[in-house]
Amino acid sequence: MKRASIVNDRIVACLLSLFSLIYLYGSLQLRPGSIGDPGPGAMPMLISALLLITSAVNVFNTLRPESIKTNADEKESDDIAGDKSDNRVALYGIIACFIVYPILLKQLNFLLSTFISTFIMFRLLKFKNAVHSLFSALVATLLFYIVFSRLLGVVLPNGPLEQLILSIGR
Amino acid sequence: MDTFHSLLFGFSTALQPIYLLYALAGTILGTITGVLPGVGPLGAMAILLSFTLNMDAMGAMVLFAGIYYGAMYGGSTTSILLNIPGEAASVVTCIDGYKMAQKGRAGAALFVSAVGSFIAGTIGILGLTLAAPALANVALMFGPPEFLAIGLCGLGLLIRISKEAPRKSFIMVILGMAVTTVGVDLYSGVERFTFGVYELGQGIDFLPVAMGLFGLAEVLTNVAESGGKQVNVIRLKFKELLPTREEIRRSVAPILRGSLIGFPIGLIPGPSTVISTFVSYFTEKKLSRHPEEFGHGAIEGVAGPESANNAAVGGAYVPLLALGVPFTPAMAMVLGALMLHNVTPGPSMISEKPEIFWGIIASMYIGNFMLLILNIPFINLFSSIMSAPRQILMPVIVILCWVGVYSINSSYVDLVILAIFGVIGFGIRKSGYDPAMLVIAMVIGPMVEVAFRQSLKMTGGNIGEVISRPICMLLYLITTFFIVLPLIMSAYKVVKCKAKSY
Repeated sequence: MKRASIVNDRIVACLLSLFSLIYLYGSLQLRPGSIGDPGPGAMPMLISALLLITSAVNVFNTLRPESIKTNADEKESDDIAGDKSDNRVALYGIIACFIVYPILLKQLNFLLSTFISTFIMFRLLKFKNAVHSLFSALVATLLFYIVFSRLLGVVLPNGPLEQLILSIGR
Repeated sequence: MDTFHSLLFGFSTALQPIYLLYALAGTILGTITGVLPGVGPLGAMAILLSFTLNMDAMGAMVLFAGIYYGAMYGGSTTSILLNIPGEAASVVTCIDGYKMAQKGRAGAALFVSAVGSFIAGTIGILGLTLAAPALANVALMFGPPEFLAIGLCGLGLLIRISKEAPRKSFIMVILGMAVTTVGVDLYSGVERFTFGVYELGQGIDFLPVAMGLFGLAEVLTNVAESGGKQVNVIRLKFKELLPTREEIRRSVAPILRGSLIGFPIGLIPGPSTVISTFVSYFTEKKLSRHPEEFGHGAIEGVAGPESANNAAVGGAYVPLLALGVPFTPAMAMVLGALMLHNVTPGPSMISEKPEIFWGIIASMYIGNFMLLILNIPFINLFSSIMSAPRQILMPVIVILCWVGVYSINSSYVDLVILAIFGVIGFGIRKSGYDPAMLVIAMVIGPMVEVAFRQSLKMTGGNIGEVISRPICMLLYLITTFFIVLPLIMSAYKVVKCKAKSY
């Protein structure tokens, strides 16, 4: 098993254990009720107990010596990591777009926020050059807005720019 | 009303022009999205679910059924033309389908796949037409303990049959159920795990989670692994689409056998479509007069599995429509779509909303037929989508997910949930966790909790009474048998090996 994969497994296992502890804390704040009249906390407590046990077993499994293999695989994974450094930049950049988009949407409404996010994604994915990316992001954003807002009747965050687009052709 | 007249009633609803248009749109959209490598039917359904939001329940179901069938066919197309399975059930098609394409017989493979899917899909839907009402009548005798048993047993079997380690599948199921506890408790009105966020009082919606785990996670996986590599697609001439007489003759029996194999397998919980393709492939190999051709472009190796796959879909719909319990990730999506439109499938659906129940079944016949007409002439058009640059496709999928999720509740919190589950889906895939289990648990979880609490209330907390009811006992025994038997068999093999070595 490659080293990066072992580290990933451990991170996931630890995060699951952390979540199970938080969930347990939250479920203890709720009233469990009685066996004949289960309250709102009954199912969460059952779930948190099961989650805690299985995530503890999971962590133990990832730390076992048999799950560790070494050196030939490590070298191979280092070589692969070198080639994929560009992908990592794109990956983290796109994740950042996912996280920032709701904030942008609230502040700038649909057209501007979607255009900015799409342009950034095009550049991160190295789509042709900056001018092409700009133009494609603009076209994609407008197309989506017109199809969803006008044709499918979906309510998207509106501002002056959106009102202007909607008013064209009416 | 007997079954035949009920079906006619369904056709009278489904054949309205607007619903025919939805069926056509669904099959086209589903095929286009299903053709995208890595997205598959599950991803296509998650991404396109939001298209159904502003429609009535019947229209949404017609569109969604078209999307499902279309996406499955799209997945087969990538298997044959690119050797990239669109979904797990298309893996077997890659074996001989791609070999046929390399020999210049891609058109024949696609044609047989389309026709086989149509015939098998029709047989599967016929089975659904007969089995669903019968099962629904039985289910009218079910109470909360029975529904609790069905939910727990279904989840237990899914964990056991899952391709990933049972421990990891179990964690995904428990996580899915944990997600469903967020929100206001229906019985007491108490807020659970909302952390003071008003929007979380309504609970975490199914759609942002599904889109995140399948749509955004797929984008991130693509970005991390492919680096924007382009794919070369085999182009076809229309003349090349038709199989020879010999190929047609060799396909007939596998198509019929695949249909009969696929439907009953579709009834059981788990990856039934995947299982049906493998069972069909090995059956055809055993029965073939030319078993040496398998793995090198045998037409039976495409016809049988593709037919089994589609027939299994019809089988998978039976527990969903009759009991309201999804046994596969795709059915969980369909249930999610139904719930978004305030339709609760189950035994009462047939009597309370017969126009929707029979309309769905009728629309499946229509969608299946449309798929046959559309996909053969437009194979080149759909396959050209595969050669679109990844740098365009990935952002388009992301925008689709954003707009789709926002359109549910106009909630920014839903977009945050989408992002969180997109990252979670990407992270857990690498460690061998199956996100489909989380999605199924999210759909079954509320039913399990309600049934659990109602069962204990009605029996005064007597767990023995909850478990020992006849149908419950039967379900628990069958599930225990299927979970424990493989463990006993492997322990027996270990003991036998040790005995031999002595």
